[in-house]
Amino acid sequence: MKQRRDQEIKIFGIAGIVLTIAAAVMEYRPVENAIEWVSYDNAFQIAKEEQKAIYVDVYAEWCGPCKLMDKTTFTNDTVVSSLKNDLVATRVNIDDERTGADVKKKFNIQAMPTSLLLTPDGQEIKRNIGYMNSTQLLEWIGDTAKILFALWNDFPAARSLAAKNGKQLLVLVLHDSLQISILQKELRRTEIKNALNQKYVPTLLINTNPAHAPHIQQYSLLPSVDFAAAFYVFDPASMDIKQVLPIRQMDLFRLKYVITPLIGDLPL
Amino acid sequence: MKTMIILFKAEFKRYWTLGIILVSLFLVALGSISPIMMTSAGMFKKLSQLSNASEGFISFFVLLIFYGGIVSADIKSGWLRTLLTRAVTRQQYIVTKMLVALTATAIVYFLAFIIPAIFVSFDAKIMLVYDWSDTLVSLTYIFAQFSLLIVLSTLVSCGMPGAFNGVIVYAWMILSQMIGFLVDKLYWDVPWAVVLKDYIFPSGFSDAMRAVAQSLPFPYTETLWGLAALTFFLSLTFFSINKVVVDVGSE
Repeated sequence: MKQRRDQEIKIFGIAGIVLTIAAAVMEYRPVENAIEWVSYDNAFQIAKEEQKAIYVDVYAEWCGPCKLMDKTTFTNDTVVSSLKNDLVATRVNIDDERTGADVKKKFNIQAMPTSLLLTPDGQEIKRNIGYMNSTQLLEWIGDTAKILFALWNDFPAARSLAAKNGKQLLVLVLHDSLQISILQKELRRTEIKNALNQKYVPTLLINTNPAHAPHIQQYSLLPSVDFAAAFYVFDPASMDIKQVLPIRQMDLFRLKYVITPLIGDLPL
Repeated sequence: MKTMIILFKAEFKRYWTLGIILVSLFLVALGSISPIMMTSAGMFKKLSQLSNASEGFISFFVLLIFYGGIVSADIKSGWLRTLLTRAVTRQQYIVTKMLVALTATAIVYFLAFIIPAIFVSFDAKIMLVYDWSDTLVSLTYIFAQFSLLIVLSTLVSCGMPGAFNGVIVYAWMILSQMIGFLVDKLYWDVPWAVVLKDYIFPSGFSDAMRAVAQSLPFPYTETLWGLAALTFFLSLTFFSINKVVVDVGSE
């Protein structure tokens, strides 16, 4: 009788130990993700050269949700492609004595994982605390219009910067934000972006944005409803309009060809 | 097996005392009202979320009332002694006790979960998505977690008088949540604290259930932790029931 009692204790005890070992192996096995992370120090230089925003993943080896993001989110093909093409992706181990401590203090990190979107100058655009699956991360970074236009200065700051740097002020005016995704995709093209930045300081005004509407009214900038958008070139000192380039809906997809009056011919 | 079935019937009959029946009715009533109200308010959109909400509410009461004194009451009343003198082994007794507790929990749980689900289905204004597969997976984890709570309560009841076992397991659970909250807020950057907080109370099945509710990838690791805890504590429970001193002569 006693032998049978002990047998059950042993069977369940051994099963418990085996399952614990299996769970521990699953929990703490190293996980590879498919992102080509650049070093934190180099990220800002690359972002400045490529005029991209920076995605910073603040993580730790002992953080469960961080590992889950490695296993699921950072192995998703669309996420990998988006982080590679649209942003400069870097990650910071919070336990790293130099970078980790620096980022923790500078961005007041209070939980993990924390995802940060930064401008090339290191200004925070937005942050998310906690796990994000691939859909959530893509939604979070997916409105890349916000990223591109977050890199642009607002109207008054762009005007000052243009005056200071001897450039012209380029104002992109929209009825609403419907075309913003198409426009950002075209404007992110390196050759357009570089050509624009050489001559102009760009800024964006959207009529439905209450903060933008006064500027649009002040300079009577709203393009006709026949046009999806319009570029206005200003002399930043006098605020005289030097050039107007209305863009039709159908031309949004071939911006490279229709904005030649502003930036000249681009290589095909 | 025959002994087990007879024992199960006897234990099941003994289980439903007037007190347990009244508490069950109270639980079903309260457990039904709150999910109906929350669904009406648009807080739940899926059937699986409704099932999870009922679990959180009921586990508080079942620990203290349904599993309280699960073994100690039988020792005190002499019922265990009577059984052991009638060719029932300690293992048969303890397994039957746990199965009866799980069955009773399942009955009350289903009533508290099904009643609001039926009411909600009659109200055309409430758009509830009937995600049966996720609900089934959630229910599996919910009952796995209830099984673990029963095993823990039984283990503690082997060495504790009265309903102290329920209080101790509940206090253990609450303490673990409080420490987890403190670590998340104050010590989130202390590696050993973050790792340790996950091991204070066995919560593999609960974590797995949450992962399913949040549509995360299938929680293999959490399931393994839950199974590991269940089998390990089951082994300890078998060990403990053997150590319970009952004077049964030639057992």
